Amino acid sequence: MPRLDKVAQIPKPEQIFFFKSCVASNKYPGIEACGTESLRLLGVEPVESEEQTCCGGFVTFANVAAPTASMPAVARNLSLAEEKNLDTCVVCNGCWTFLNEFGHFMNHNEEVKASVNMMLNMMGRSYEGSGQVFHIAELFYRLKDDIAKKVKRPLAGVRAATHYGCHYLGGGKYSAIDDAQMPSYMEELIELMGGTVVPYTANRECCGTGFTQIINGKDLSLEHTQRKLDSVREADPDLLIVQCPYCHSQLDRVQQQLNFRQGTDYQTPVLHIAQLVGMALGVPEGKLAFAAHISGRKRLEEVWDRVGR
Amino acid sequence: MLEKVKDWSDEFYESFKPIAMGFVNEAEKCLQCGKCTGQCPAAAVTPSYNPRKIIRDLVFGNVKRVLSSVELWQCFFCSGCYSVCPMDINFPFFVFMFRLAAMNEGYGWEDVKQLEGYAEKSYLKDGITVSTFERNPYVLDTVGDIGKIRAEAGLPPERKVSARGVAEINMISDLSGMTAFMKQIGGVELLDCKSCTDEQAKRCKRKPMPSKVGKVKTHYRFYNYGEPGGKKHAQAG
Amino acid sequence: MAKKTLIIGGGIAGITAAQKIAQNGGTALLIEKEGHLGGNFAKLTYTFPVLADAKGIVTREIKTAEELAGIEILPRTTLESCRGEAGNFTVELGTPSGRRTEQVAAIVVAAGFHYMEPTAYTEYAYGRSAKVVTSLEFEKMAAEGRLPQGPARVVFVHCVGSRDKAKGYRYCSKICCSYSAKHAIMLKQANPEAKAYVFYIDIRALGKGYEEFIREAMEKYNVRYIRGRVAKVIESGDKLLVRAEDSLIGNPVEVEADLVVLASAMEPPQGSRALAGILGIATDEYGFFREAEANVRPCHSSKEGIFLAGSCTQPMEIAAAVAMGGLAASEALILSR
Repeated sequence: MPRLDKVAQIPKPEQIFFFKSCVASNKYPGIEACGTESLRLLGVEPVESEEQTCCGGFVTFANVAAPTASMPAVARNLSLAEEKNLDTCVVCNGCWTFLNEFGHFMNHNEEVKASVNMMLNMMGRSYEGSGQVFHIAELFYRLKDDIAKKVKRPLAGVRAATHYGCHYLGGGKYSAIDDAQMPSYMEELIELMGGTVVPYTANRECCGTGFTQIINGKDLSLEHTQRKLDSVREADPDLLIVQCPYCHSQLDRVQQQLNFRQGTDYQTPVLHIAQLVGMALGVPEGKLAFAAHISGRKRLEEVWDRVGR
Repeated sequence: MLEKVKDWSDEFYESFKPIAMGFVNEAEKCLQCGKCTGQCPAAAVTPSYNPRKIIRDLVFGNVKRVLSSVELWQCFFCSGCYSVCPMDINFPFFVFMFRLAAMNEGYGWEDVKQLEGYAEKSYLKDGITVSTFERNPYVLDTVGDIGKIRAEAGLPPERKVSARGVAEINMISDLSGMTAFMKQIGGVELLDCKSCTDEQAKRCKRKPMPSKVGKVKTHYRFYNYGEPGGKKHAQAG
Repeated sequence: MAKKTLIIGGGIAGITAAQKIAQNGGTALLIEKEGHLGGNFAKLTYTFPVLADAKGIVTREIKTAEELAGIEILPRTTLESCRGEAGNFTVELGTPSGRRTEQVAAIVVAAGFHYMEPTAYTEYAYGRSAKVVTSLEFEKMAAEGRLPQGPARVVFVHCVGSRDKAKGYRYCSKICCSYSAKHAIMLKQANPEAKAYVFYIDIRALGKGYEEFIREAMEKYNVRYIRGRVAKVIESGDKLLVRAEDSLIGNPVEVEADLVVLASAMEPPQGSRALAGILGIATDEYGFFREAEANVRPCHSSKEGIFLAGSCTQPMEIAAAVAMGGLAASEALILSR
């Protein structure tokens, strides 16, 4: 996988601007808590800001606003990191792709950048485009040697399947650290922490959220997710590891919805990579916030028994 | 149905480019190879949705068919088409711009209305697009108070964006025309499962098309690219 | 005595050029970087559009060249430097026994082509699954009798690296349509129980017998042609799932396959730009050698006295490479009298 060479270019920071995700904060707080705690354990101090809002991508792609409204919102959020002279770390594929893609666009289009800055200047901010945006999974991969050294709860006997998520891979055709079609770094991280990787057929398929389809085209969305879940169940992993809270929410909650609607029995716990790393690094149980998870609670308990609390 | 080529528009694609701020790129490079559709998650469940055909209609100027279609609103925004495209065509951006154009013609507002709630009630009010509100009673029972879980995880019980942050994004919304845009679609109550009446619940299942969303008159959309797919339709047939 | 002509490359174009020079009273010095002559032609089992024994033909041509008095063949030899002008070049050759300097009147570049390694096409699981092979590997499998047995499904994928700005080249490699049909026919001849599916974008079958050849694959051998570029190949147990759109119907399709054959692009020979630098001739944006004038002077390079032959100028089939070898030979002979 030659693309992974890009990892070496990621600096090992002392501090990083921790970009909070809407879904992670309000639906799966364990992602946020584990993200910050794991980074701390790995020697990177996460810096947060209360000024930070939603990345601004949703309103654009929900067609509530033209890019003219999202662009300044992205620039404003990125300027918060620039003020502190830090790079940004996100936990959500959506944030990653919007901040990266819109940021890239502004950096290569002086006219748009100027008009965005005109708006930001009115509120005493400005956007330069100096910082970089990393996904937390990329940072974990960058810090993999430190992770290997600091594993407190080895994931021995834990069978994990992976799901990367479209907005990291599709949106990252030219900027993801790994090959957009055949990524492998999450598998490497899982094995590094002592777990076993379970391959399954629909690994590279979309989770089915379809951005707004879960709201506007629920039938399509559920049908797609069901295909994915069928494939996951066939491989029967203990955990399904994702790196996007939106995928997380879809894969976790739709299991229950399908069980309710169709009498099926999907029971696979879904974990964010930050939670899995947190688990391995020995973050206290409460911080993983598994109480917010819907599906596969029993299975998750069994995993806990295996790795030790 | 016989199509008359003289009805195709040569101007549409040209007029499309500046509005998109340079985001749309080089659709004329499309080879019609179908690699996009081959990997498309939406096409896999509803084959009448076909990115290749939509691009073709854009380049050839048969935009009426795109704008009045249901298919335009079925894109998953997964970017998979872009990631495999041999010509680097960023199709999701085309969909996005197409939807704006369709709304201009009076299509699709009822879909956008549902999403506008997130922008108005969550994004502009709290600065966070996804709120802690749970619709699903099972989830509500299983998870309980998310504030408590946050507290146990060592986080503040509620994630708050500062007043300055919220004020700033509202300012951006006003300045960029987003607020005015949203006002157009205000005025239709979103169905809320907590306060929903029996009558509304019945409607909710059948999902009738509102004839008016806010101040905008909406038009019917059609399956312009073939028979709708999906399990639901297969069973109905 | 006539002056010598240097021919770079011992593929079919170079062999033909050497033969024609020698048969017309000239002297040819044929250098080949590999240990044996034949080039890409020698890697084939059958020719197309007429299914003839490729090994037999290339062996016969090599033998003819070896027996002609006016040809000196130097295997494992490369060009190190080149000075002078048309009618009087001084070239330095790197041979296994050391450096050698020669005076030549003309130079024919017949450096051939290279099959692209589709390593960038990870969506096709190339390099990851042993059941995904290139057409060149398929030729080898066929020659060694390792084609799938029984009711196996084999999928042929066109345009891997061709007509692809993002991961390959924008040009059409011209011969992939035909050789994929050839491979499908080879498969069906070796194993009539097998099923063959060819995914194409457009079928490029120009020239005598080509269209009929592809129709024969469809009509006589029941090879299924599906219009649509393959989107991805998914590993599923010991099978491969091939996803594409059947774009004539407009519906996504999935084929459960036992073997996937990628028709990888013809790209310029490795080191073509370096060779062009030594010779002082021009290449195009891809690295193919540029002709002085495409229509009536196809074998003239940008420099007097240096001529081009075969697929180092553009993707081409064997017949065209042979014709170009002959043309380059006659141009070289003018300078060597």
